[in-house]
Amino acid sequence: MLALLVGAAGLSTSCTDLDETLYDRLNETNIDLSNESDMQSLMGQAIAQYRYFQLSWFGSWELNEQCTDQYCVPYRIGIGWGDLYVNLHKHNWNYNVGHAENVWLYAYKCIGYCNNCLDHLPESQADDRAQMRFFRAMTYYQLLDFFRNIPLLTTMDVPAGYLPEQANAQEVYDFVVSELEAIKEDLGTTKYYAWGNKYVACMALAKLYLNRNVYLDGLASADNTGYEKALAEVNTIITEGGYELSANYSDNFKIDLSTNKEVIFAVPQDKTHASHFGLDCYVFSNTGKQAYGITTNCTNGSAAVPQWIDTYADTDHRLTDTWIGGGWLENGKFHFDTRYANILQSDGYQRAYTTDGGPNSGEPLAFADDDWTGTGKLVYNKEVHSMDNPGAYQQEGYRMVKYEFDPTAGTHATDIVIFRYADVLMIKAECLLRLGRDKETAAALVTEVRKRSFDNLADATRTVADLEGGSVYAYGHRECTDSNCKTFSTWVKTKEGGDDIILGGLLDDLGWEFCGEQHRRQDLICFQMTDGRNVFNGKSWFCKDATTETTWNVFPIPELALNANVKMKQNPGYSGAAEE
Amino acid sequence: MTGNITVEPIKGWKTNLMLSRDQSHGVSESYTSSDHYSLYQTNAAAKLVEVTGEAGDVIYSYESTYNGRASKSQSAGCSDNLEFTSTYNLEKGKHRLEALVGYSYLYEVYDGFGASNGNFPTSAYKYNNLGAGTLISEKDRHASVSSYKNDETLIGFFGRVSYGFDDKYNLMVTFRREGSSKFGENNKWGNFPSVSAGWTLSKEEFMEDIDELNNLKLRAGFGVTGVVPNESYLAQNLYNYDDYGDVLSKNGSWVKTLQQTQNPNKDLKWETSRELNIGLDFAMFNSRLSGSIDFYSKKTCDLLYYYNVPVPPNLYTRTLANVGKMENKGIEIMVSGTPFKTRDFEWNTTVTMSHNANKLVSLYNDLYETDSFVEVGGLGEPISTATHCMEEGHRLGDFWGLKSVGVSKNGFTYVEVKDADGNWTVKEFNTNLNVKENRQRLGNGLPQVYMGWNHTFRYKDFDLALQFTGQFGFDILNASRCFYENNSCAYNRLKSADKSYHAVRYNKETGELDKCYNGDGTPYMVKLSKSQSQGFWSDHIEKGDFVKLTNITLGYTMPLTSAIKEYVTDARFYVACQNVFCFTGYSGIDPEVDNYFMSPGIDYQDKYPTVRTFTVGMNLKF
Repeated sequence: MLALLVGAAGLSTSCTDLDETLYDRLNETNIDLSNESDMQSLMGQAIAQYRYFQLSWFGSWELNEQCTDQYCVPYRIGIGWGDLYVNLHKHNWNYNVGHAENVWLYAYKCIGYCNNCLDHLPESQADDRAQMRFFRAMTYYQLLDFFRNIPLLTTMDVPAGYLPEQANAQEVYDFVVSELEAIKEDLGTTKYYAWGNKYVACMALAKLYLNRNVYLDGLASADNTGYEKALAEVNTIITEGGYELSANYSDNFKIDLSTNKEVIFAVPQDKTHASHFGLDCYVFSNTGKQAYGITTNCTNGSAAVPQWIDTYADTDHRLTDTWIGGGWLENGKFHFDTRYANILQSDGYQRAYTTDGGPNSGEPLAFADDDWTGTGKLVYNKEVHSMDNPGAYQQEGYRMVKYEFDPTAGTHATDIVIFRYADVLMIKAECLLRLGRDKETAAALVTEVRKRSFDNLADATRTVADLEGGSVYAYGHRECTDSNCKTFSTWVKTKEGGDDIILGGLLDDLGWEFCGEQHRRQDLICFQMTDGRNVFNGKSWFCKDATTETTWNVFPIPELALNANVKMKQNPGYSGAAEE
Repeated sequence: MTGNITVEPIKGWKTNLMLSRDQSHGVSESYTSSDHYSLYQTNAAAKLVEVTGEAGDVIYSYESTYNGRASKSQSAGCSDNLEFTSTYNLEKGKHRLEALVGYSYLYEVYDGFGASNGNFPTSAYKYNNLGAGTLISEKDRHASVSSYKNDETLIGFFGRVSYGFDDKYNLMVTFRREGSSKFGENNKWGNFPSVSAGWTLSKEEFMEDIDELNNLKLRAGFGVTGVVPNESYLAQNLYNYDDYGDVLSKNGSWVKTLQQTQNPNKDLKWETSRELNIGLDFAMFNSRLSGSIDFYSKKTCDLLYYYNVPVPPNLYTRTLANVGKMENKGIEIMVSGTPFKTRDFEWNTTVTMSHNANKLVSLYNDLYETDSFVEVGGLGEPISTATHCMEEGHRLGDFWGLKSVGVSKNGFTYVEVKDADGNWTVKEFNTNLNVKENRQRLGNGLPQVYMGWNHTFRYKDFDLALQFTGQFGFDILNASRCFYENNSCAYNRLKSADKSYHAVRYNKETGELDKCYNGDGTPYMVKLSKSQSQGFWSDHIEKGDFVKLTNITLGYTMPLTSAIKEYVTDARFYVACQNVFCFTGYSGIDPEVDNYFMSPGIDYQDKYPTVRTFTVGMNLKF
């Protein structure tokens, strides 16, 4: 009772006090953004958001890869997937595609944190300011690439009720270029792993310049200034950067890239601290993962586009470094892909197909519908019936195994490369070929990159004629809609080929080297056909038809961003866009 | 613990101070043995991995497994309440007056602590020796330790004056000024006045001759009330260290990072409702028939809800904000009667009915300029579409989606969509057709009428109670059908996925859907295609009307001899059943679903069925 009375006396002094007490929470009163350690923690969040942006489920990696002619996520008969994944592959998406929405949200979170830090960082901390401007520019660069017309915010200090309007592609392009040029020197030349430096900025600039005509004037433009500028940037990296090609192609996709001298910029992951990238879940069935000794949850989704697999030369080790496959059907008979036959695990499991014990000895596979070998074993078939009609059987499609797997984390703990030195050389080659200068140097650079992936130099060598010639990709609609058909006799729907692709050979080389590195979509949009269309729109491939529409070059502004901001306008061609 | 002091210095003037402290404690302990499915799976999936032996040779070992997982947590709540009131009562002749002023203070603080660990050397410890597990010290595997603490304050100043004359006329005026810690800096306080009046007509002289009438009273009231958010700190710009947001520092070590946890809303304020209420109470025939009728009209302003805000400039897509105006009008009727009453047998019955009509008046908010239409609600992955819409001038709860019109020969659901010229046509379902111009209003999830009907029967020492409830005039989105009435799933399929449909074909010339027939004239029947993806369309919306017998109880009260009554004053045995049966045309498990105002009527997939409970019991009073 006494305690209550004392309590009451205490209460009376604060009888109208309605402050919330912070016990396990923080706000402006108990953190100090002018303090070094709190500011570093906030800057760290901007970098963490950049990682989410790149590698999350429905992040930038997935948005970039799932619409290409190399990789797809078909509807799996008996499992699921489908929906958005199918629409992404068929270039038939709308503003409700979840990938675009997630990418938008992560990107603007990253930008928001960068802006928050920049609002508080004094000019004297030039290196910290440069890092935040770097991550912001990297994110805006990709938003430009995905959406073109986007809100361009440089501060969090906005008036109440502020509804940002979109800047156009020119404004965004100019902003990102000027930011990267401005911070280049402040970033310094020291190579802190996974942070920006001068050469990462040069690389981002090279990418922007290389795609200048795509973003601004259109592919038909005769403006070569972009290629000249891109060339200058990559030359800076080559002469000053001190980067070099790794001995093996697969070195660039190891779990830890921190000491890899080819890697210019990467997003690091870690089992304990940063575990995001779920490619393993897409790639394997729960049976298939056992050959890699992984215990993560895998749900058998994605597959290689069969036509893409056919482009690889037999002598190119990047095929088996990038994909795992079992074989193909020919005249109704299954042919094992011997290129995979000698890839053995140390415990005796073969990665591609299991001839002697299945995944586990005596354990039958529930894949009766697509037991191509008739052995009851897991063997991937290169062919895939269809994206959605009837879809893909469980053993169909080669699987992407480029990124090293950790036994308990799959690809969730693997560092993912964003920029690497091979790309520097390839950009140089592309610029020279587009500028019509030193073409022999260009061919030599491409050969240089290829060398490590072939057993002998003759196979690795590419000539100017190879690079300037057409693509070997057998473009054309492929699909087998008859679910009972196991011979794929109705597989070829249209024959288009790749002869009419300008610099088609170079496009192929970029594809083989950078498959699954957020490269292909950009390349398909950047490379032109003789009729003026880009390859992305102008060619058909597995379950995807050629079109004269250009809508698909740019993703739609996500529904969520449109609905909450009455000033936001949809990109042309999409539902809700203003009439042209 | 409660303390109460009352002083009455002058007769009729009472001053009261009430102090109380209410403390609660909770402990939660859990142990998952290695035989449990979840751990068994992990352990079974553990794989031979290559390790380098001491001699540098390559040997194989199993990836480490889990030997049990345990956790223990404790929580505490403390609520301090002070209430000070001063009342003055005056009665003179037929006049009765009461005046009251008061102050109330409520402070609540909650805290807790918890830890978990795993891979124990023995299963004997269970959760009693958490330190013995190895996860806490292992790299790449997770044990956890957590604690929390938060508080909230609610303060009120209030006054009340009531006046009555001759038990016929009553008038009451109240005023309450209330403050909550949960709101923004300048909006913590709200004012809530009310006034009410009652007129007991049956006491008027002109009514006294009606013997059958026992009571007839007319009531009217107007009042303002307020709503506080459930959680504290929602107005503030909060930060915490992101569990998944560690980054590599320049020197190559992983460091924690600081994230903003919500969009702040410094203007967060009370949700307020103004309600006008007119009612009539009556009792007749020695109170064997009684009841009441109430009409109300309620206008709610500044609704508290998580509202979609633009990203950028916000970091999160939703902010708790005060948005919009809503209007609810309705009627509630209650009739209670005793149709039979003899010495041995008695039957009492009560019927209640209510009807509510609502309208969204405005979506205006203080934060952002906004459209007059928003899509809300939704189903999860992989369907991921909104299920409802809210539009100014319309009622809440409208389902919003694609209208299905039949099944194609290929086994795909046909839905109505707009063609390039904006005319309606049909297409086979694809989730990218779920855009605004193709979507339509498909029904409403809010019941028009709620009904309840209770009976109690007594025969000698036996008693029987029946409780019926019902809801009418609404639709349910059967989400189980969206997900599982689908042949693309290998598992978790509803039986109805096997159903055959009479296929239709879209006739471009007539714009009609023609039924398909086989060559021999029999209907062309088709099952849903294996390639038909999961999705939401109007066929999944069903009439929800139902009547339920929610409770039945049969009891027997034992006649006790006076000798026993010295020890036991009362003894009753009973058997009861909850959720006895349900009359409905709805095909799902239970048509009684969540009626949350923004997206009512969704019968979510994976719902745990409503259980039927049987109880046998005995009540003894001593």
